[in-house]
Order: sequence, then C-alpha cells, then structure tokens
Amino acid sequence: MSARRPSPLTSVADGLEHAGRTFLLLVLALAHAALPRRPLRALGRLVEQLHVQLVKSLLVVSVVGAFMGMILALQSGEALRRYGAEGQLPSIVAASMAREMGPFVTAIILAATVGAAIAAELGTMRVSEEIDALELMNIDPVPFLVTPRIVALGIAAVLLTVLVDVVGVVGGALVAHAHFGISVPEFLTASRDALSEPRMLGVLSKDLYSGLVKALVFGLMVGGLACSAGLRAEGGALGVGRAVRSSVVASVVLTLVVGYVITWVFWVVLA
Amino acid sequence: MSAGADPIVRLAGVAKRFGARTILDGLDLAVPRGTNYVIMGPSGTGKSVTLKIMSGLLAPDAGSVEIDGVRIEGGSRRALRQARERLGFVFQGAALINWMSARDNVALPLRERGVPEGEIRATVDRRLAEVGLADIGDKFPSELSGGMRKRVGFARAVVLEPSLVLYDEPTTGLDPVTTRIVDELVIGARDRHGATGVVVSHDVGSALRVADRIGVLDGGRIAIELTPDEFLRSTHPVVRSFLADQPAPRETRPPERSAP
Repeated sequence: MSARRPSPLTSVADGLEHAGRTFLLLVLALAHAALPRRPLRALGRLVEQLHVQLVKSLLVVSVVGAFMGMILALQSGEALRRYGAEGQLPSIVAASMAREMGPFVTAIILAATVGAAIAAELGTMRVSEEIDALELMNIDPVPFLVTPRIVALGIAAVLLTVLVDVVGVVGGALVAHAHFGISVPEFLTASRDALSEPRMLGVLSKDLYSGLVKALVFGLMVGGLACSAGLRAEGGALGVGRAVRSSVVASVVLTLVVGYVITWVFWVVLA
Repeated sequence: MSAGADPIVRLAGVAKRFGARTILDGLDLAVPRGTNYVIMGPSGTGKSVTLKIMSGLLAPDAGSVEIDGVRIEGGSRRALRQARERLGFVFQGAALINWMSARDNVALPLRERGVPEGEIRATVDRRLAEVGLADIGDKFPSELSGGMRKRVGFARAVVLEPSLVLYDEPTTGLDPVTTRIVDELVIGARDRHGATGVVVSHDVGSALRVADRIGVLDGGRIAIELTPDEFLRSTHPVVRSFLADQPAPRETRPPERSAP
C-alpha cells in the first residue's frame, strides 16, 4: 500500500519547521564554537574534521576549478576577440572566479561530497541509536558532533575557494596563452591588478571580500543543512538516503539563493 | 505493580501514543533496588518505548517517571542529567560510536567527565577484561561480531558504575553460547556491582535466568507480574504463548542467585 502523500500546505509547514530547526542548530553550534566547554578537546575535534574535509575535497576541487577557469577563458576570449578586446580577458576571468565561480563551485562540491557524507554519517548514527547513546551518557551531540563539522566546513570552504580561484586563474592563463597569444606572466599580472581594486576596509578588493564572505556563509550553511538532515533521519537505511538527498538539494538551491542575496548586498547596497 | 520497598524506578499512570495508536495506557511499574526486572510482551506492546521513557529518550504523554528519586517526565534538563548520571543503557544493536575503537567507546563517558587518562586506561582495561574482551581494545565496532559489540556496549554502560542499568533486548540475535555470556554479565552487574537491571526481552530462556521478577506487558500495562517459577506455572494466555515455543522448562529454569 502506498503512503498517503502530504498536502502542499503540510509540505510547506514541514519545510519551514526544518528551516527553523536548521537555523537554531547553526546558531547553537556557533555559540558552542565561540564558548567551548573544553577548548583543547574542541580544537582537536575541529582539526580532525578540517583534515578529513580538506583531504576529501582537495583533488576534485582543484580539477573542477582549473577547468572552470579554462572554460571561462575560452568562452569569454572568443567573445572578446570579435571586438579586439582580448586584453580584458585576465580581469574577466579573475573577477568571475573570485566573485562567483570560486565560492559557488566550492560550495556545490562540498555539498555533494562532505555535506552528503556528514548527512549520511549523522543519519546512520541517529538510526543506529548512537546519538541516543551519547545523550544517555550526558554528552551533548551539538558540541560533540555538530560544531566541529560546521566550523570545519566554514573554514574549509574559504581555504578551498582561494585554491579554486588560484587554479582557475592559472587554468585561464594556460588557455589564454594557447588560444589568444597572451603570455602566462602577463595574464597573471593583469589578474592580480584586476583583483587589487576597489579596496574595502583597506585590505582586500571588493571582489575578494564578496567571494570569501560567500564561501564562509556557504560552508556554514552546507554544514548546518547536512547536520540537521542527518540528526533528523529516521526509518533505517531509507531514512539515511532521504537525509542525504534533502541535504544536497537544499544546499544547492540555497547556495544559489543566498549567493544572489550576498551579491546584491555587495554590489547594490554597498555600491 | 511491584510491591518492593525502595523502588529505584517508579512509573505511575504512564501513557504514550504515536498518532492514533496507544502504546502505553496508564502503565504502573515499580522496580525494587538491587533486583533484575524483566519486561516481556509480544512485539509492538511498548517494551522498548517503556525503556526509552525510563531513560528520558521519550517523554510520556501522561503520568510520572521517577528514577532514583528524580522526577524526569517534566522535561527539565537538569533532572534528566541528574538521573542519567546514575543510569547505564545497553542498546539492542550496541550503539557503539563507529569511528571509535572499542577502548575509546568504553572510555568515552569517563573522558567526557574529565577523568585523568591514567585512571581511564586502568578502568577501561578492567571493564574490557570483565566482559572477556581484554585483547580487542584497539578494534573498531565494524571489526567485531554482534556478541562482541554487545559486550563492549555492556562495558561502556557500566563503566561509571551506575545504580540502574537498562537492557534493550540484550540477547536478541545472539547464539546460545554468547547469550549465556551476556546473561552472566546481567546477573553479575546485579550481584557484584549492586546495579538494578531492567531488561526488555522476548527471550524466555534468558529472562528466566536473569530475572528476579518478570512483568508481562499487554494492552499498554503490566498485565501480570511473576517470579520466574510463577512464570513457568502461569496460565496467563500471553505467558502460555511465550512458553509454547520454548524447550523443556528445566532448561530455562533460573540459576541460584550468587552471593554478592
């Protein structure tokens, strides 16, 4: 017998409840990060998670980042050649990578790899009663499991975005050299110059700030969604599968929505 | 309802519903300190739900739950924390943290309480030796058999020397030899450590070996409460249905209680 389908209203209510719980979990996890009960132990868990997450994502992020830069250079270069403006190519590739593509690509990869793994891990722990066991030992699952994963994802997202930006620009430089006759040093210098202005708060350019802020927000968001989905899993292996899917889908959709909002804030509100 | 003096667990009028289905309907139960109380009943009658309500993992819809003098049904975190300090729980699937070794699993409650590492090592070694697993401390749960995982789960549950241990189907899925080993551990927790045990089981042989009292759960309440000998002679239909599938009674008769 098939299960009765929930009404649209019930689905919306469930979605809002999930969003609220995820937001509260994120706030709680960050509060534990800011005021850890045992700082050394908390730091150890964070470093362990950061190591796992960086190792899991480094190769795939590098490859995707490089090809993203190469595609950007090829597409934009062909369009610019029609107007004899190939010289603009480095700044277009660098700005696109730093503002949008770097954080976006990193977030999507993290959602599909690390986020999915976290949802599956915590979901399995939930359905096999490991989370219950922690609670019965008076161990709060938030500082023990959630905080290190979310904070590590925030840090990993920023570090990996910088890596994607760099390999993307290098990939773009190689394509620009092969197809448009722009030397690699010339491309890299022009990219660096393009990302130097306009400065915000006297340190980094607005392009870099907006990209890094996006990366941090995306990382924390992907971590929060993955942990929340995992902790809410129920119904055995099927429930774990549902948790992974909902975590990845919500992460991808919200990455686009929140990415738009941050772009609007940086380039319209703070223009 | 049990009539023992100084009950360590006291449930009064506990009710629990899941949607339209009533699982517990005014359950009264008192477990005397220092005894093993086995809750038996057909599948779906709320045995595990009762255990989860006792441990505060589920809140009852009505009624009161008192663990070692602490009322926990109101949802107070402090009360729950206080009650859980005195409580160990052996899960049906062991519920070991899968990315920690057996040793780290047993050490976890001690480590979270800030016990010095030297003391933790000695205590964990002793507990693992007690369950006959002194040499598997470095193995991970995925490298252990079901029986070994349960024994590690037992070692973790009693590592803080709780006054109450809750066992959820401790022998389900185990071979007869491992079942006897686990039964001995349950009896040993009572006799050597003075821990009261509440055991949820539908393994009659195991229940008769470990129990001081057996409560049969039916219709959301304890329908009848018996000693193991009374259980074997009972004409109650649920008890008869349990005994119908069992080997000769003498094979499942409880052993003499060992001296503390």
